Amino acid sequence: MTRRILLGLIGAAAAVFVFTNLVYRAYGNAALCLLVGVIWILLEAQQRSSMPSLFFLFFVGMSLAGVLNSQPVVLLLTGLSVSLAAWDLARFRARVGELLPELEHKHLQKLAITGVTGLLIGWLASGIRVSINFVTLAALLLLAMIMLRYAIVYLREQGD
Amino acid sequence: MKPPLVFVLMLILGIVIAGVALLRGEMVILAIPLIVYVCAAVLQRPAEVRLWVRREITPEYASQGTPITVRLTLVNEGPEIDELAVHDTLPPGVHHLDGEMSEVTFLEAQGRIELEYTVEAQRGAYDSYEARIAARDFLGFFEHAQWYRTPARLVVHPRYPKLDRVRIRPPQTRGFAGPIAARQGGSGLDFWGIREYQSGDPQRQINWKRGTHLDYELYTNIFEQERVADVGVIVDARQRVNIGTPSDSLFEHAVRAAAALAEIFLDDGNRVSLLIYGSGMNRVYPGYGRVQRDRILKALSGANVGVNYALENLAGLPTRLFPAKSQIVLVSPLAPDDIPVIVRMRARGYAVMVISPDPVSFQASMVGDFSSPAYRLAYAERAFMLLQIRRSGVQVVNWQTDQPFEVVVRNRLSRQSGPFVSRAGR
Repeated sequence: MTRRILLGLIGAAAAVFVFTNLVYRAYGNAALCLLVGVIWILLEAQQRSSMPSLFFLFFVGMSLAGVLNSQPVVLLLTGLSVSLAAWDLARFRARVGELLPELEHKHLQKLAITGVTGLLIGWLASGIRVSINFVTLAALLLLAMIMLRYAIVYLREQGD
Repeated sequence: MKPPLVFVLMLILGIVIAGVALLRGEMVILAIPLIVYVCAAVLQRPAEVRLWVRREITPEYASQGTPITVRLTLVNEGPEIDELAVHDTLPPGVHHLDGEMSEVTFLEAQGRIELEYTVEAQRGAYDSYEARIAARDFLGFFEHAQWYRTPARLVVHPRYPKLDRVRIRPPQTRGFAGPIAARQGGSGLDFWGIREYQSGDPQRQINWKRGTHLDYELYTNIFEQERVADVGVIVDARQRVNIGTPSDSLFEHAVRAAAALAEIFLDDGNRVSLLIYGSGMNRVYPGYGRVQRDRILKALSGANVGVNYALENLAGLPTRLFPAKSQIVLVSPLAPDDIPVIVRMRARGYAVMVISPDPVSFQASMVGDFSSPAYRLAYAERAFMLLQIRRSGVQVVNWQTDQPFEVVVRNRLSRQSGPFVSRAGR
């Protein structure tokens, strides 16, 4: 089941980006998304060792490019979330090997909850408009970076 | 921290920095699904893993090449684990045959996993096994790995051939009836001599011919008593004489031969002891029967070649540990400086038999060279060494290990192989 869902997710992610780029007449990007999506699907279908991180990075790049081209954030968020789920399932398959039904079921369940939660929060956030000056923004960014650093150190200690 | 987590964190950081630098709030929003994804992994990361692990091995005592079933059972005594990866590690010398040795699964609290697989093992005593058990969050970002050691014991004794009965004739035997000629007159099968008739002698033992030829007195045939004997088996485990390759070694042949000989001597009712002489001296005290056979096989299972400078030659051999005038069977490839020791053993009254796996032909067969001057010289040197030992009254079997040991024994040592040539004890 995971394999079918994975192929579906890759197809969906590619379709979202192809659609968005076609609507905004970025035909080159649309063709590129289609090509990358097809290659990823073929590699996963043949169970060859694909590089899911590379394909995911490509779709993240397409999302950022979409923002710069003023494409709708909701669509880009959807595409990004779907490609994130596809990346996760590709890693899951490679990590686990032979899938037991219970493990597969639990993973898909938790991944669906996480993905939908992220997407919903993103959608909600895209509707909020807050105007802040550059100094506040820089301070917030600095704070975020410090927090991220502490989080990484904490997680590393936990891992050890 | 696993590389995928670093990758996602870098992506989040990159997207946020790009959004801020380009003053595009929408770009920052794109990081939200990634942040939620990481948060889910952090919240679901595995806590301390508490598992009850048990290993069962069936059978625990087996011969080399026998399929052995290993069952690893785990019970989760902690909270549920999203992904539990179990990988059982086999000790060196054990080979996997069938079944699953590893599994990745979801394990609920008080949940149970069983791995069952079949292995076969080389000769040895195995008492420590390790299983790598890793608990992960469902996204595989955090891993808590532990090695579990399970103390199940497996003893794999050498596979050895069934031999025909071996002729031995030690100078002294024990008091119980057995198959070995005891050099004493009495009841038995082989003719021993005659004596004057005594009242009560059975009529069928009277030697009528002798009486009529000499003085018309009656004489009685007496037969040689057959008793059991003390047999000491010595296995030479010195590294300097045991050559070998990773796939084959003279020592393995010597161990198999010692096991086969010990069994045949025990089957005949003899009292058998064992000494493994190498890095140390591992001894099995004399005993009879099946229990003694198991003791000897267990000792041979764990035997390995080793280096001990104090035991570099056989001069350190504690022959006094063996009963006086008993049979000693030395299984050794032999080195030239062993000759005086063997001759001395013989001089002290022991009946000595040397089973010598031939290192010259063994090494020659490894390199496929049976014609070079080096081979011929080594062959001649060994033949001369064996001749010296034979001349002292020691029974020597030069065993070329490409021939089955049972065939060599049948031809050279068994009771059906012709007249007994050794003059041991006479």
